[in-house]
Amino acid sequence: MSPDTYGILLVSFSKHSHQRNFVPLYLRHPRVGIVAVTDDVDITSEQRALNRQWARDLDVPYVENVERGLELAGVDIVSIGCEIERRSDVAERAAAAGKHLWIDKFLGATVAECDSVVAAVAAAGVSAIVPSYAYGELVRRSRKVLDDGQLGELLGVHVDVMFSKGWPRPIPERDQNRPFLPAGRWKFPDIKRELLTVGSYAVGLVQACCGPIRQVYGHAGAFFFTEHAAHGAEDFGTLTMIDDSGRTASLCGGRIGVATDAMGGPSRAWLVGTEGTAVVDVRQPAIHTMVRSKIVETDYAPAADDPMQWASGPPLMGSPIHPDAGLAEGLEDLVRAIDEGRSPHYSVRQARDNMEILISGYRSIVEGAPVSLPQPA
Amino acid sequence: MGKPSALLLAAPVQEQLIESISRRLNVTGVIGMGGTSRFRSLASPVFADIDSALAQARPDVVCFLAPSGRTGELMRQAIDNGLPVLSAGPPDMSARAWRGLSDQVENGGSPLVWGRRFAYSEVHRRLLEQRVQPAMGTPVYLRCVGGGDGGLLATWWSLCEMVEQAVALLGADPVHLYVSAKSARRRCHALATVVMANKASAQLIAIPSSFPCSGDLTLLCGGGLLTSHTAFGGPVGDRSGRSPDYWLATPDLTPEPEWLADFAGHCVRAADPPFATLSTYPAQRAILVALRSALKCGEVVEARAV
Repeated sequence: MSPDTYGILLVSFSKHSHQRNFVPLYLRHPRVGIVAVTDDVDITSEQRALNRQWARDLDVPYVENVERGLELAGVDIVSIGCEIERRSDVAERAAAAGKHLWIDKFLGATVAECDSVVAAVAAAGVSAIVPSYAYGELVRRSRKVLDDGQLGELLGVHVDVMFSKGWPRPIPERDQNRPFLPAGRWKFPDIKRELLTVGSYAVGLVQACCGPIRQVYGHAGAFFFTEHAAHGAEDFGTLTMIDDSGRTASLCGGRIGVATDAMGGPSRAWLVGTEGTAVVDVRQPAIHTMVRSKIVETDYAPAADDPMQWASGPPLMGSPIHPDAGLAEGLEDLVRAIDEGRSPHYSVRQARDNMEILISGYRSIVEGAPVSLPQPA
Repeated sequence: MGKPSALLLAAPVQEQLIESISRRLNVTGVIGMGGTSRFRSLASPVFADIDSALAQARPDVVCFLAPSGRTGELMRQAIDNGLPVLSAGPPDMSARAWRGLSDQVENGGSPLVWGRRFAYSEVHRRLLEQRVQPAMGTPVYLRCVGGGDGGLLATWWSLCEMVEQAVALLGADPVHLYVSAKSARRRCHALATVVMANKASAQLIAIPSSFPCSGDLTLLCGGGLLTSHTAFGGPVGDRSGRSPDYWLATPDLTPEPEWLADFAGHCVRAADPPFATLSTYPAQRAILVALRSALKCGEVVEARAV
């Protein structure tokens, strides 16, 4: 690699992360190169096999033990794609080793873990990015509308983000009234907590448009998937939020099943101002694609090894004219941030606040009442 | 039998709506509500108050299309004159004044009903037709964008209407209703978050524009997703005055002409009103109390009477 290229160490290809989606970005970017794949020693044999397969495919070494991976020559950036429960520990170790961080969505499983990562990054003076939220079309277009000033003073932001993925089935009666599973347990073999997983994108937009959130009211409890109902864990949820200047925000987020949207699921926002209201829809403008054979001959079902479609998408009947290049923007921001010795636009502090909003939402769902932020430690 | 006749109480931004109604009913006059702006090109005669309007022509019904602080007093005035009253929303009255008015109506006074414009909306009807298909499954979530025209009372009316519509579309009554709101430059924006008895929920947005009733709806059910974007292509807010070069020509989907014609038809036939709403007042009044409180304290406030 040339001297002005940053070497990336890939930590884990957990199926609960988006590491597989990051690889093409790294391969395309002229200023970064993949050095190796690594993971902790005490992982499952399936995870180790998957990691090794990726290393082989990328033609880089697989290094057992993250500590050893961090010691490899040429590692500048650590791309963290392990499960959420291990993420803060890996991030802290990597920051302590002086590595810059690319962290998939969540810093840790709790606000305390997120705080530890924020402190570790600050102490190490490294650049750390959480690229999933602030660089996408939804935020970019919304910010443009707001920055153009056509809406006047912003009064509220309302966001719908839904993934038209997975195969819903009728919920057995025994699972229809299970107590709601509180925040804290995120990892399951068969499901993700969808208010966290999907709702975090909507929270990212709210963060981009509003001030710090100081009150949250959450609701969940109507299920699409038997798998979620069996755990009492939401596949869909809503949050109502108030920011520090009294602006009102709301979101819905969830996995709602295949074939519920022509383009993979609604992803849109209403920006309400004193002078007007704008609808931002990242699926529009679009080319609508109606192919007879794909409709009349279809016999579709998600792949048996990916029933919730974490690594695959539903059939689409069109595509946005302007595709979302958010992750690539994020990588560019990280590279520039490292060059300039600054923090990326959306860093660990904002990601920590995103998590606090979501966890407060979960608490509100359990308590059945609005909760105030910041939460006591 | 000729067209039923109506005296309308409306805001100047509702000129287009008044024109739509006048194609269906004989509009005997219009009284301006909500602010100091004036009607610009109205064909119907404009009056300052009910007495002067009634001195010119006696309508079959009186219809409130926009609220003001005097709505309750004007409703009582109409009922005192033996005129049936249809309103887009409830009156803002003290408990004592409300008891007096409701007693008058319940003890042989003229009919007084409000809300439920959405039930006459083609958008709502089509959505409901789809929603009840077995393949749609059970309702889970409703996002509704409605217009409040920026004023506090108009925002309240919009929330009341959307809550009623949520009950109809989600198929259950509310068990919790929370209101949050923000106002600036005399423009009020509010959100009602409603949790239903069947665990479905709704997020209902009142934007500070004269947005059409049932304009923008998203209804998520276990078996599919229903969306309407009927507001697009139609005139929305003050920007409707601008003449576009290229636009989507849409039919007039405003439900008010049929809503009012149905009510007036019942009244002309001396039949009971098509729906009754007096019993909804405490819950709707609680929304107004919560809205005022939310604006004052800048927090999410529960509407307790639900």
